Amino acid sequence: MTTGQVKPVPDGVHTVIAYLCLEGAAGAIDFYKKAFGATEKGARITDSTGRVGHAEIRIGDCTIMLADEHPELGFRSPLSLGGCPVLFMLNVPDVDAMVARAVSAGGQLTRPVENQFYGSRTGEITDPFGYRWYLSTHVEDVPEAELVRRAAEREKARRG
Amino acid sequence: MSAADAVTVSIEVAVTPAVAFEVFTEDVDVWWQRGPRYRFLPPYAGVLRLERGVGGRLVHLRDADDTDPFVVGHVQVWEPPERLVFSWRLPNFAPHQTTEVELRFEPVAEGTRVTLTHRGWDGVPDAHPARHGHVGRAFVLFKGHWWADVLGAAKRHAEAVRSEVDTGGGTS
Repeated sequence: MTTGQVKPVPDGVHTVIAYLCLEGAAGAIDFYKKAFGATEKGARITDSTGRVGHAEIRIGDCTIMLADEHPELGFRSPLSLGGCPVLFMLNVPDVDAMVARAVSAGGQLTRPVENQFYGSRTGEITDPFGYRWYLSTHVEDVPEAELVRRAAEREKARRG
Repeated sequence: MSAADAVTVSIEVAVTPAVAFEVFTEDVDVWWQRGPRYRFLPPYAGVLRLERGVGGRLVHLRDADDTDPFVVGHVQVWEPPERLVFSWRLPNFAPHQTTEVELRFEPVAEGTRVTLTHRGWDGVPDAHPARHGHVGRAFVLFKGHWWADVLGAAKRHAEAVRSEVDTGGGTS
């Protein structure tokens, strides 16, 4: 039972927070630190076997929570499910540098870095734990009319 | 030993291990939260004291004049600024029931990683009220979040003390 006034959503807590299920959460935290400059915040909770029950990292201005998989609770990781149904957009100042950093940390480049017609430069990393990260840097403000023109051109080229 | 015998919680604190050890032990009553969730006996305020050195007691006094305080446990290892171990019993433990708390203070780039392990829960039956109905993984998370709150309070206090020193504040 709490007393006094509390904030239903405390300061600094975002409305949506991703909670990642991992095979090897401790290793994943190290990877996210090396690859994306994550910092660990808050407390990490583990059981007698070293299985991580809860941890929190921060990437840029976002919190991500994570834990080791607990199959007995139906909490399973991309590696044990054999695929990843979620893609994280990671908006960074220099996509080339961050992708290079993620690859040298052990990430797999699953889409090369290239400019997109809508004004972003993007590339995709699949991390060693099965999650996909779509890194993006805004490189050009594209006016609406130009965007429509480029999209039509692209569609035309695709149809051949 | 089951996976849920021990709960480990670790947290980074932006002070040196020596300061972290000192704050955890000497200032325990200052930072340890009050209220029924955190203190041991009604009226859930009183005074917490950790006596220094091996054999020292962690006691909860109902008030400053309490001559018969509740003894949470006894210090088993006192190795400042690296390691501290003390036994841990709750008021509702049977005489033969006990657990153990170990703290390690390890220097890291940003200050100190404080790692607390509370072990021995296999000796406390699933139905024991100290578990609040939680067993297995649920108990690890229940106890883990509790310790995370407690250590979080210690961290805030330690970092506030540090910034007072940095800015030349305080009474010196």
